[in-house]
Amino acid sequence: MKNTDQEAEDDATNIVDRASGRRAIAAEPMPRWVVVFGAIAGALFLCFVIVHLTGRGLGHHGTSSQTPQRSESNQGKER
Amino acid sequence: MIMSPGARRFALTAHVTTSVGWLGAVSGFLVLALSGLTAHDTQTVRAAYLAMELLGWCLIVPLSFASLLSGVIQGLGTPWGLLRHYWVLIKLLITPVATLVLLVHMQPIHHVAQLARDTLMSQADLSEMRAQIVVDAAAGALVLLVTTALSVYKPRGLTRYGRRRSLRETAAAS
Repeated sequence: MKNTDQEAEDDATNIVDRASGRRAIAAEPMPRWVVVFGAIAGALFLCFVIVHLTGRGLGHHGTSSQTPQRSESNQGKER
Repeated sequence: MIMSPGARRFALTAHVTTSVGWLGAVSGFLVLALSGLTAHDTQTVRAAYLAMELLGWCLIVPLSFASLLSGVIQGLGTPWGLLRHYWVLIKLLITPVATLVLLVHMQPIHHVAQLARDTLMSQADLSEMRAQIVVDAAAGALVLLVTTALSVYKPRGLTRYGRRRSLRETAAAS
């Protein structure tokens, strides 16, 4: 009987420990370097998206306006 | 699954070699992109873009995948884990994104290289796209420098999952 009481008390202590451990995990803040890193990465990603959405990124360059001449060597090959 | 010390050293060597090799190859690519943009000699410009395509497909793309794979193996096989530490997690996020962006940007590089192969390329041809390639290569080198610095400095900070795991391990040990 005494053993059972002891076990029950241990279980209760474990539950309290686990709960307080979980609370401690939730309460611990993110390191400052991660916050700064995330802010910089977010700003750079936003710049990247804006640059691409405004048509200054890859795939929007003036390939059609610039039609270069074919090289003489390749023209020779094609003939 | 924790690797044996021998396997761990081998995996670490592979990861360091591929990651630093990736950074070195991107730096070489940046030099070629800059000379392709600024050189006045047509032969130099054409040679630069042909070499860039070769460097991209034969070295940079394989190294990016090798770095990602060896990094995942390294994370899974050592106590560092993949999701326990912020610095590992950030590297795990950066590497696949950088690989994906690299694959997307190989298309314009192929386009410019094709132009260099088929035409007498002048400085005015695709100047915006060529400038963009320089910017992308510089950004890629910067991102890889950041991941290298993270690996060397290993800044402290456990993720929520990492804290939970270490709490569980401490409880199991006591």
